[in-house]
Amino acid sequence: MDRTKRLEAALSELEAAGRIGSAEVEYLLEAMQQEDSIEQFFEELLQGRLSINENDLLRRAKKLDLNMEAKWIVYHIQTAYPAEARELLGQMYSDPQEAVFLDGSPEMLRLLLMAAEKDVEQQAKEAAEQIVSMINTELMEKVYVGYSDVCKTITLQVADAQAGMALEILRTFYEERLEAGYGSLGIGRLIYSIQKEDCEAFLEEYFGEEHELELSEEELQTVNKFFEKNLNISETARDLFMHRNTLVYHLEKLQKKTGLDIRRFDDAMTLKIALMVERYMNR
Amino acid sequence: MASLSLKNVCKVYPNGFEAVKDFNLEIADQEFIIFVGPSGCGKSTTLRMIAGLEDISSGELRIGDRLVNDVEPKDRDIAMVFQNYALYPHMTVYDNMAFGLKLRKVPTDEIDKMVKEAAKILDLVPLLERKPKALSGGQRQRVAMGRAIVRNPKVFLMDEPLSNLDAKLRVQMRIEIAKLHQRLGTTIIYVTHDQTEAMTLGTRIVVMRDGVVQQVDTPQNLYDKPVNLFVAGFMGSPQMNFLDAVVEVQGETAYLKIADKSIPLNAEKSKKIIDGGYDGKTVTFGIRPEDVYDSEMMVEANPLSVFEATIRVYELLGAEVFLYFDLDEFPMTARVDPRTTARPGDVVRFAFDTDKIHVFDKETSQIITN
Repeated sequence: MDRTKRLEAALSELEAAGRIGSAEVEYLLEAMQQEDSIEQFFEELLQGRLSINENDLLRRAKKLDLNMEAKWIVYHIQTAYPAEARELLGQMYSDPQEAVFLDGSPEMLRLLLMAAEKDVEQQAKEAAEQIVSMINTELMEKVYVGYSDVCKTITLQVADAQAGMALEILRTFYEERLEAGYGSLGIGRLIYSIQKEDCEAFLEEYFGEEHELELSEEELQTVNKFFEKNLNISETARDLFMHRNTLVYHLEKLQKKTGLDIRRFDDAMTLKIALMVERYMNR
Repeated sequence: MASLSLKNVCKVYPNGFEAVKDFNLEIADQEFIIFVGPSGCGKSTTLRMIAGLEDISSGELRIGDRLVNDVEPKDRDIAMVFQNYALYPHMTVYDNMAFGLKLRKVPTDEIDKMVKEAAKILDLVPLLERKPKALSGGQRQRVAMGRAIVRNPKVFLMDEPLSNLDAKLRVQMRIEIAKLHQRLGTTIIYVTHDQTEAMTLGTRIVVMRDGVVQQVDTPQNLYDKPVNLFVAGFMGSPQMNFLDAVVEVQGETAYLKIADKSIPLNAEKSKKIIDGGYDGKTVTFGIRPEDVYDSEMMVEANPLSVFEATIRVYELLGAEVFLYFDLDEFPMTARVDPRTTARPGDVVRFAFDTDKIHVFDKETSQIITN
């Protein structure tokens, strides 16, 4: 028996016992159904199952006392314990008109937070950081958060997709980070939007039919440090505790292997993108 | 309470980014250890590895005698406080502190005991029935601490817990945290980028840069005997003055040639310079602002290190004055007595305390004279 039916039965019993009037029962039921329906409304909106007739939509929103002019940010929260996370965050964001929790996947919880009037981007980032902190400290669990741009109620479906993409790109390209907004995904978002066939063609152009870069852990470390140090040989050599001539030797070896001399900006850029594309393909 | 041991701990992400490299540290029971360094230096990642919120790529982490590399965070007996602390707005202080324990299904009577004990330690007893809205910033921060204390952990991990507070409250809370450490007698690992917090709170400080530990030492030793240019520049505000100097050796004395002056080093420093084969080489000369004097007495007492400079900026901070000037085109700062008569535009005679001079290898940035 679902929650509504159980409550209906309990209220009928109370009514029968004369401890509660029928008008009160109706009021309570309506209020209860309204609470259920807010989630239902947003779930349908996110899945694109809601009527696209604006009048219908407004009528339903009005019935639910929802402000269709409100702006929202969608958060996708990846955690092994979504139910506990929901209970925890429900205490932080307890106003159902301003915070709506929806199920995602078995390891993901969705949260729709009403956006503030000012400093929306800052607020969105702070909320994401806070979600991470709260789950880390209270549940002692790992968590990653992707969030959308600010959107109108009517475009929540798009925002939901943005949050999902932000989380996926975060986990693919920026593993050292814990949260990312759709608006700050950099080159990762660009690569993510390229067709797989085009990615394969790109890798094939530079690295042959197998299009495998096959860099060893040591080579990868050297390349990453060289990029991190803005292609500066002295600084990279110092950080890797090697002589600059040794580093030059390694870079020349890499050039033989890949055909790219990453001391040149164009080749460095190509390898950087190729490494990201490869990660995207192998994700 | 517990000791911790980190042996050759590394964190490399699958994208190749190396956040922490070969981190080695033994932390004794009840120590207050500070991880300090600029943003992105790997201090928070190290803390998160200790918490179990980041996997360790290689190396060993022990809490007490137990290897915990693969132990779930919630089973490591630790508690964390982050900068983005948040209180549950609709709960009382009591419930805010109890909520985490309720989530862990701790029995109610035990929760009650733990919350009341923590409230007593943090002087929160009279506030237990209040909601967060009715608390001051400092009180809220104490409630956030209380949420960690109720867990009675072996180790506290704090990641920039004071970063969101204003300057005045930070000072106040710094004192509160120091008192808390004394009262609890628990091991604390505290991450900050603020060197004042590091110097005032830590029993030992770990200075990090680019994922590598630069130096681990007591606050005083870090300040007095930095092992390299980075540590020397990072610890202390205003930071240590640095300028290029050429070494000249005459007999058993090494001289540093700066702005047409040859400053003699004491016997101990001279020996290290000579033994290192630095004669004729350019080195980096470092001196802290408080070791640069403008008083007549010090100028007369150190005639071989006296030079003249034109004051660019004068800053009065009440108990001290900062004088800014250039020496041999290098910007310098002197921290002097507030009774100084020096003002912008004045040509002033300064003297160095030559015993306090630090000399660094220009190529490796490592200290030569310690």
